[in-house]
Amino acid sequence: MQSLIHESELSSWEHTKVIPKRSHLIRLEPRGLGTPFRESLSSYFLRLADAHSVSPNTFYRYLVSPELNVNRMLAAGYSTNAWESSGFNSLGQIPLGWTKFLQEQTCVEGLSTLCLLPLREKISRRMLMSDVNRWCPICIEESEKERIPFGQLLWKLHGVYACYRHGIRLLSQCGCGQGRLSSVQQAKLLPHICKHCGRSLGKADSGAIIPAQPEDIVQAKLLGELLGSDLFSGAGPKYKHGVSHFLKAVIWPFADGNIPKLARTLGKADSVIHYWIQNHCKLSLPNAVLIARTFSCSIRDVLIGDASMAQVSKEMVERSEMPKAPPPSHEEIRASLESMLRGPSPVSLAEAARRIGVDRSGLTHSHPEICKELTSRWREERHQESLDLHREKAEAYRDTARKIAKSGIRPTRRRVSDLLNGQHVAFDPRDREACDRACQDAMLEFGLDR
Amino acid sequence: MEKYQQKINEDPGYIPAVIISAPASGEAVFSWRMFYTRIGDALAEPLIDRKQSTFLVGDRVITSRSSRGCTVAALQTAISGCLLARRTSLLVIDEAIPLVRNARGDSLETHMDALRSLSNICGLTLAIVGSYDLLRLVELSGQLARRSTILHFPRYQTGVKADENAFQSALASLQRYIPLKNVPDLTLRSDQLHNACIGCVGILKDTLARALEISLHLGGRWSDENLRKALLPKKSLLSILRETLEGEKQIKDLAFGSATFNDYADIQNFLQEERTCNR
Repeated sequence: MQSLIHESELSSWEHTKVIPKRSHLIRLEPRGLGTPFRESLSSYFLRLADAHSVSPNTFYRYLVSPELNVNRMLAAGYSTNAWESSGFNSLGQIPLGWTKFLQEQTCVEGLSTLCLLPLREKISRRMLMSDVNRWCPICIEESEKERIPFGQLLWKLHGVYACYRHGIRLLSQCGCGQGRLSSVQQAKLLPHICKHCGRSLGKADSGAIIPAQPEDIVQAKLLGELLGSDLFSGAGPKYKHGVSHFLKAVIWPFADGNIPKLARTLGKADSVIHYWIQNHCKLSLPNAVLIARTFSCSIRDVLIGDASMAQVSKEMVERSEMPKAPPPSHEEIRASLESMLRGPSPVSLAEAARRIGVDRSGLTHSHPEICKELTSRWREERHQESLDLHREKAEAYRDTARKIAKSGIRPTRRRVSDLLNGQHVAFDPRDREACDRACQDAMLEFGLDR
Repeated sequence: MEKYQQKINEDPGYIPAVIISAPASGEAVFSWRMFYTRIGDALAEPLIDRKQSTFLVGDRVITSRSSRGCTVAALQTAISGCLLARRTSLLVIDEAIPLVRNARGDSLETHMDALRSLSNICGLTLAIVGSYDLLRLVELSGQLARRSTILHFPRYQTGVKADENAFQSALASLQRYIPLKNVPDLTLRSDQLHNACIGCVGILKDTLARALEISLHLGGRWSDENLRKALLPKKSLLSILRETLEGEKQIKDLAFGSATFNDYADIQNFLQEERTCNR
């Protein structure tokens, strides 16, 4: 049936108000913005999925992946659970695509500051994020009291092992070894919940809370101040080659214009300092921390090239005045290598070069025979270790599969994995094969194969 | 709308009001799944069929493994969360009759409890729109009566000058939207149409729409004969009138403004008698 109201007349209807476009997703406010304890992008994503009462996997599969070029990401080696990868909160293409998508869908501005994207032009991607998931139980407990628990970006950074607010070591294990969920249950994926047992990460045993090392606290504080700085609010200076300016500014007052002296102070090779000064590369985060600690200033100052706050520390003076140790002689290197070769535990070539204090490639050229022996001994040892480990795992799979089959249940890879405290047998093809074989054997043995 | 316009402009996530019509699924019982799905659709909530329930088992936060075929409880939790997050303050349930139809005794109370729970959790005002059958809801319990307000939109009465004028004005407005040439001035037939539609603008609108459809079907010329053919049959009209009169009688004692101070005196007497009986 045709409408009684003409479209043209409807638009001019005096009571018709135009409602601006609404956000497709809930407009969830990120936590801790403008502070060193800002929320991480992965935490925000998990909370957003929870706000829509869908699992992060479903959210990703049906909402995100059609929009982002997932095939390209998968080809680049990212897992389907992108939010669990260390690069998710980093400064590459993945967080760039995700923040753009989430900003468009939620109409929330500034999501790029939930990862390290504001440092994209200033910091190298090397040694940026930690592969280990860490958290401060007290911070989580506090945010739970405020009823919006979240995970901090600071905990995701490489080299952060302490919570400087509470002076404790960050935890990386929930301690739920014996209390994992069965295969039919699944812990809610939230930033403050252990994905293995479903318990709050804010309820750690008092024994697990250990005071942090002062060194770790200083490092965490430096990195925390960077996250709370104006570089993340968008108000900071847009300076691309800050480190070059910083080093140029400090080399005269602190090293008398002498690059080798500055290199000694920082514990780096002269060529590295030359490299930094000539703007050849972006600084890695650990190096930025090193420079900031050496000159008692903030990482932000190093990155924007502001040396006005740089100070001489006693340690720095001592280091700069220390004469450079002469390189070891050919004979000394040979003697060291031979002693390592005869030593009780095999040593890798990289480790040998580090212990002697020379370059690895130089070592291979000067003593090829000993290096070859050293390497083959090391490889043999590693191979043996790997075989032992594999044998141990296969035994564990066999025992577990038999245990399951004995109770009348068909053993499967998932059931075996669950009983083995969630060890992901699916990730290693050899483990997978061994587990499948153990399951088949157990089924044959207990007559469950029919 | 004007009250909320500024907030709407400032916050793109804000949805102050949601309007749905209660679903009549064809099943014997009211479909809450369809009801929540409709609210979700109105809120443009994504993945409505893939909502997951969350349980608290001891100190563990557990969720269902599969997200396919979500439960009504999961849907309710999801919609409550969504209404809260969108800061919705008004939920209009239009054509709400399926909510009360086929519901007897306990099941009707259960329906109202579910709505009350949704309203309490999300801080919502519920506007339940429908015919006089909805009056059953108010008589259900004192709790509900205390929280409810009835707004009666009566039909236009014949013999009341103001009502007749208003009906005529509505007729004139509707006529402006008839996309045909040479439509005579229908307001001249206002009295006849008033009777033929028992003063209900909804019936009038449907009648004019039917007349238009017939006219378009017969070459696009409006005629009185087409209008006559579009009128409701006498039996249907009588049935509607009977229900309307019954509803009007019921609402007389339920709407605000119907009470007098004498009524309260009667209530005092009733309480007095009850106390005497108890002794």
